[in-house]
Amino acid sequence: MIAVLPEVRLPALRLLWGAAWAEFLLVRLLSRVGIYIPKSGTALAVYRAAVTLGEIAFNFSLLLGAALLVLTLAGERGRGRGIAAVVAVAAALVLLAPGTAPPAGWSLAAAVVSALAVGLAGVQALRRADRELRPALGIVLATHLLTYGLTAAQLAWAMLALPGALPGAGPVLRGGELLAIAAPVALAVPLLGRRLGGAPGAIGLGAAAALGAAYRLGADLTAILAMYSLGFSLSWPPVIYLVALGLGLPALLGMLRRAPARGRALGLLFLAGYALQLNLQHLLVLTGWSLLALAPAAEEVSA
Amino acid sequence: MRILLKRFSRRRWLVLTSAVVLLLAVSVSLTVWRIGLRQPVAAPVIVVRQAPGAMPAAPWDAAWNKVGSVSLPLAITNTPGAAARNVDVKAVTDGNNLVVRMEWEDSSKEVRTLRPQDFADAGAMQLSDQVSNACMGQLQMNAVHIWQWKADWAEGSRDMAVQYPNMHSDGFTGGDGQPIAMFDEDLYARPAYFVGNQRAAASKSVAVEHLVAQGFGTLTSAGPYPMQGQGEWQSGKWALVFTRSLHGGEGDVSLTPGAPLQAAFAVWDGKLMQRDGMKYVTGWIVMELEGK
Repeated sequence: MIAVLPEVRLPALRLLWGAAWAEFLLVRLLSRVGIYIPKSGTALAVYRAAVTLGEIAFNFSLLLGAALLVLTLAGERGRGRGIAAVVAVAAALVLLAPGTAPPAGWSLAAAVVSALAVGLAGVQALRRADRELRPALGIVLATHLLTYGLTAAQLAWAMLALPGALPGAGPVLRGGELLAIAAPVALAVPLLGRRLGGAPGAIGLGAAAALGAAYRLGADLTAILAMYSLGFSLSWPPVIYLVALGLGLPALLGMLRRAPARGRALGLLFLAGYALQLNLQHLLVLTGWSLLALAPAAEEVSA
Repeated sequence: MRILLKRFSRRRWLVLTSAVVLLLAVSVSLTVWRIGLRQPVAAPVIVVRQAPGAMPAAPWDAAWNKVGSVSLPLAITNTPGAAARNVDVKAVTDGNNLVVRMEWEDSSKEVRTLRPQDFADAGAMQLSDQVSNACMGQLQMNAVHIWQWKADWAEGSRDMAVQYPNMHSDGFTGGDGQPIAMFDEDLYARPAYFVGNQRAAASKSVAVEHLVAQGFGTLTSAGPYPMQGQGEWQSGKWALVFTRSLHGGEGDVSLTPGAPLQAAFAVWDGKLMQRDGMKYVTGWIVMELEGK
């Protein structure tokens, strides 16, 4: 059974990549621009169908992500078995939470174990990564550890009924957002002048221009989309976000061309966003790090 | 074992395709039956505990100092000069009422909107009993409920004589500067007031408007609502409390302990000319109501 895992894992990753993008585009973005959709006729029917497809993509991503994680963890036979066990516990806490809004205690346990899982898998992934990828991976890892750490601290603060707000939570949140923006830049910097041109470069430029136009023409909706899709507050100067998108997107596209599986695994981490709130976002994080860290999955994605 | 693996390998695409089709069928079925897999987890939670003593009703009541809060980042939705800031949220209950307190930094208070160039500060919270993750609700889901406190709805904020101390009373206004009663029932003189638009009322019974929405562009005033809101500015900070009964009416959001409840928050800065969709917003956060 173990022998067939690589053959199943990579197609499953391709499917998850597509489904996660469909969910991102249709639910996190399209469903929120409904105000601009004509409220009758074909346009409304198409809009509703697209949003329903997005909801299907959400459910499919969640189920497929869980299956892919099982395939990845089950294949682990080396020293990474300990990491696989911790990731499995984190995924179980994330996916099997009781009720539609789980109690604070459950969320605290999920945040702490997820932090541990991401930390262990992240360090392992850093060891396996080549020199070009290491800075970006390190920054993504730092962002996730900071996010989970802050969430766990806030939950513990609330559960212990301590007065006031957790000291320093505000600056840490802002700093974390800057780290999250820095990751795609770090991914692009080693490629500057070599592999950022051509079609990926043009797409990155176009995306940055589109974001700039959105800032200019509809700043209120742009910020709402940023907050509710990826958890960015846009509280840093706009140029930082434009540069991150303009450089990070072509770098990721180039990576998808050179090392598709590794690119998708890293892409899942970016698609999860900065403010991790929903089970799917956590699952994308755990799956992405596991694929990058655990053998033989890491070897496949590096191939 | 090898033979088994080889056979499996030959059939791997069939197995894989079958598995994918099965997952897809389950996903479609869950969507059609509206069984949501979406769930907030490992994210901050506002734990609503029993009040430590009497329920604090005033925004700067010292009793609030004993209550824990959660800092939420506010997304900057527009306007030059907007600064990064957070809103601190805390809430308590006594088993019958819920009091939610918001606190955020604002270097000045804007409480009057009598002049066309004026915009007032405001704060709002949005509640949903379904995990939609849509910012203003979504079609085919329960409506989200929004409580918006407006600084210019508070007592005395629409006093013409304060805004224009040297104004001349021309006979159409009373001694207090408000339009006199002769226009109350005149559709053509005061159409918004005549049809019951809360914004047009010279004095408001409460400074909070209750609104419902099921997606962008569907925001609707829901009329009078049994709740109170009070905001007070002190030393560069607004503190705002919403107070309402846990026992709502039909169609209202459920505020029973253990019920799924999500909240999101927004603030408006009048000096930045913020109004309507131009505001600072947070993402959703789970509210956990503890029982008695």
